Amino acid sequence: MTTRPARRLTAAAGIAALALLVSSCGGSDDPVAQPTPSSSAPSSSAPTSASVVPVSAEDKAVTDATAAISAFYAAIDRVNSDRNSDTAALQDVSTSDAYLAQERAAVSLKARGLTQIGDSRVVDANPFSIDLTTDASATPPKFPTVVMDTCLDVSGVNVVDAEGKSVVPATRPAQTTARLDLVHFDFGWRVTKIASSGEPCAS
Amino acid sequence: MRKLTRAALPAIVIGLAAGFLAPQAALAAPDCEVFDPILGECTIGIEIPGTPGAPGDPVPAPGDGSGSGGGSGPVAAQCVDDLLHVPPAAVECTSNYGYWSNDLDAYIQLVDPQPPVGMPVWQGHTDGAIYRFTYAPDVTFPGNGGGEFWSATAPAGPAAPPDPAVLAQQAVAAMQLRAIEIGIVPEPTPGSMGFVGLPTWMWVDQPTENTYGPISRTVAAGGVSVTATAEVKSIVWSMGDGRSVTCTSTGTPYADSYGRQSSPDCGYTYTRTGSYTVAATSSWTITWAGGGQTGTINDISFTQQAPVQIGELQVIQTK
Repeated sequence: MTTRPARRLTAAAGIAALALLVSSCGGSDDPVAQPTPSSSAPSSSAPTSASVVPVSAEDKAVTDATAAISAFYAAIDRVNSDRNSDTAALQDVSTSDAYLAQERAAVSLKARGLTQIGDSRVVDANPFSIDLTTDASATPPKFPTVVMDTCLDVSGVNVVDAEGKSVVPATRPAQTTARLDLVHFDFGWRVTKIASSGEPCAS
Repeated sequence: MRKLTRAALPAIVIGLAAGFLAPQAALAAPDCEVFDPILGECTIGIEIPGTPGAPGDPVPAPGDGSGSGGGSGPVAAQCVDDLLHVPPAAVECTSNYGYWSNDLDAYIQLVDPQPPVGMPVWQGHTDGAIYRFTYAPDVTFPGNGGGEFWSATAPAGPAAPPDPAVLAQQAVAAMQLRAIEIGIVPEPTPGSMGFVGLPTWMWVDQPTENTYGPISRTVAAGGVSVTATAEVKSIVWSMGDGRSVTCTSTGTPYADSYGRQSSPDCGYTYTRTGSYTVAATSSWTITWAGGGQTGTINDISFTQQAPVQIGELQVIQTK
């Protein structure tokens, strides 16, 4: 069993994950904190010049899961911002409970004649736990799973009705936390579960 | 780096009860499972049994003559769509798209034929089934065609057909499976004794369909028919001396004409004298099919016991 709480990425994975977040958000002013260099760097006698830092399987999983989170929210943005979009696109980024929940939210938005304007931003994503066990013959089958705690910023998102009038409540938090379960299937990473009570991110 | 505020949740719960939270903090609803950050509202709540329901007045059933005397109030609809209909509206519990699920606010239908196992929609599962959900067809807009999903069991609904797996269990119960009748030499009767070094024969005495199989039973309900077929895959004979023999056939009944021959397919030879309790555990393998699904049940076994006496033959030399 390789499940363990994961509180810190190594420097390599942290930087890679950060790069993905920044690129996906498309802004240089992302309020993502700089990663703290980890003390777990290799202690080889390598010279001070640039060297390749080995990336562990766990670090790679976190990096890939972080990218999947960005893709997940980007897909939601696309579905919600186009009245004619097909919500089936959500199946490319999510499955299981997460897919059904987001599908439900998307069709509810469309049924109410609402359209999203602007994109959300993932401003923070930290691994909560990592379990890279694979056992396809188990019931239920086990696949590499990463649970990530995220902070999503929707301050740049507006939702308007058919007349173009905003329906966003004034009390909507600008940033909320969510814990996402991501599973690496044969066909890639998918968000499988979302746990979020609308709790604002800590400042 | 930004930190999450999980530790603050208990304080929020207390604060809500006291009613003195700032508006933004009050949005973090502890009874919300999935919060829509875009609209700032809860999309999936946590229902707590015994607490007042979140929904408002019950939605009257279609054709309900509410208020026409009797004073018992309107009859609540069994099937309600509170996703696409604002306000919530009663819907037919069955349609061409399947049966209505109040949890999913959609019609549910088993995909037939099922997509090949291994496709992404299976999520790696090999059990369960793929279902299609279709939203209330009277509310139309682009992209509301529904979709497919995997589920271990059929989603619940007032008009949901029986779960084939449940019907399979009922079919198995109808088989009245039971342990085998033990056939063994030396016979498990007083005065009968086997001997060290001589072969012991074990077999299923007068096997029947419900002690050895094969046996099939069909159960039908709600338009779903499931047939289960069962047969013993092996019998483990625990000989009582710490050793066991696994036989994959009924064994061969002993006859005096066999003399001191060993059983051709299910036998044993004791090496010590004693009184032993032989236990025969028959394990069944059961397959079922119906309702667009198939399955296997492997955890059914029965045990029967019998006592045997093993003595020792000694050669007495006389002059």
